Amino acid sequence: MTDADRQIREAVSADGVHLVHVWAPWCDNSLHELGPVWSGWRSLGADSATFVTIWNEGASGADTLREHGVDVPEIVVPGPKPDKADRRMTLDDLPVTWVPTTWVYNRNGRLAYAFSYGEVSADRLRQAIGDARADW
Amino acid sequence: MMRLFVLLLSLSAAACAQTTPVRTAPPAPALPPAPTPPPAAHAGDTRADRTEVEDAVQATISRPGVHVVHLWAPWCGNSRAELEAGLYEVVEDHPEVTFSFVSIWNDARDGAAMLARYGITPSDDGRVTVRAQPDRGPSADRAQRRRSFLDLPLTWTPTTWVFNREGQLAYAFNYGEVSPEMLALAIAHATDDWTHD
Repeated sequence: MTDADRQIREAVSADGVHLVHVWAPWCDNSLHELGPVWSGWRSLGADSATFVTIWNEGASGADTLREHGVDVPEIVVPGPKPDKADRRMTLDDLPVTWVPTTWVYNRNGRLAYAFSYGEVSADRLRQAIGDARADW
Repeated sequence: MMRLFVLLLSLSAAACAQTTPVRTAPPAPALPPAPTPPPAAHAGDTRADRTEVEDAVQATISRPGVHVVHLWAPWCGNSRAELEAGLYEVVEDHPEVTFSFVSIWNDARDGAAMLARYGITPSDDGRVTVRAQPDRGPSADRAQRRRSFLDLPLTWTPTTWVFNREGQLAYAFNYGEVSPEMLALAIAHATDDWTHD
């Protein structure tokens, strides 16, 4: 288990619904989501949101987040931007093959939903958070 | 009294489910031959512990295109509710997508009869398959149940995954119930050709 894995575990293990968003500052799809989805993440209904910056030479994306009004804790994963064919890794034992990727956790750290391709809209995320909070 | 009413309502719904008309999916185009599954994708891989069922599903999802893997149990009310909501319609409406139905935590019984009652039957070309994932012992013993499939966490029935890009996970629904509309939307988004740097 890496430091990033441990930090993710800490972020999602409490009661409630928690978001983990895996992104890269150079990625257009990631940037598209910052304003419409993540600048107002508290209105989506989750208890926390944590950003994980990957494939960025180990550099933080905090400046970019600040520019877009995104106020979240950030975990920075070391490692270069890989070639497209090698863009696969795991975080918290889950595959990451695309940025942005968003995970919704509930039940004290269990994965409820994963959006691991394309871009996620605020509406879809809001629905997933609501479903994750529901007592099935 | 309210509990009794709810119970009667549930039994009524179950009875209705038994009479759901069976619909037959239209013939689908033959699938291309399956390539060799890719090597383990991550360090947490437990491929050595995989079952033949996982190997078969891996071979399916490793093909080009979009693939749905649905993990369910015949005894699970949420699983039955999804079938009753019209999961078969999603299968019928997406002839280009494969659907792997895998029963879990069910003593290696595949639940094919129940799926058939809801209009879901295996197809000759392998587009729709019905399989059973064996546990390590009696499924009633929760400690014997397998808690992962294709190295992804399995903590709930029903669980539905959508794969694209030769076996990469695109969307996961690991809790609650997924509606036919939500699944159709996920398939559509997995089909989209997103690009970035």
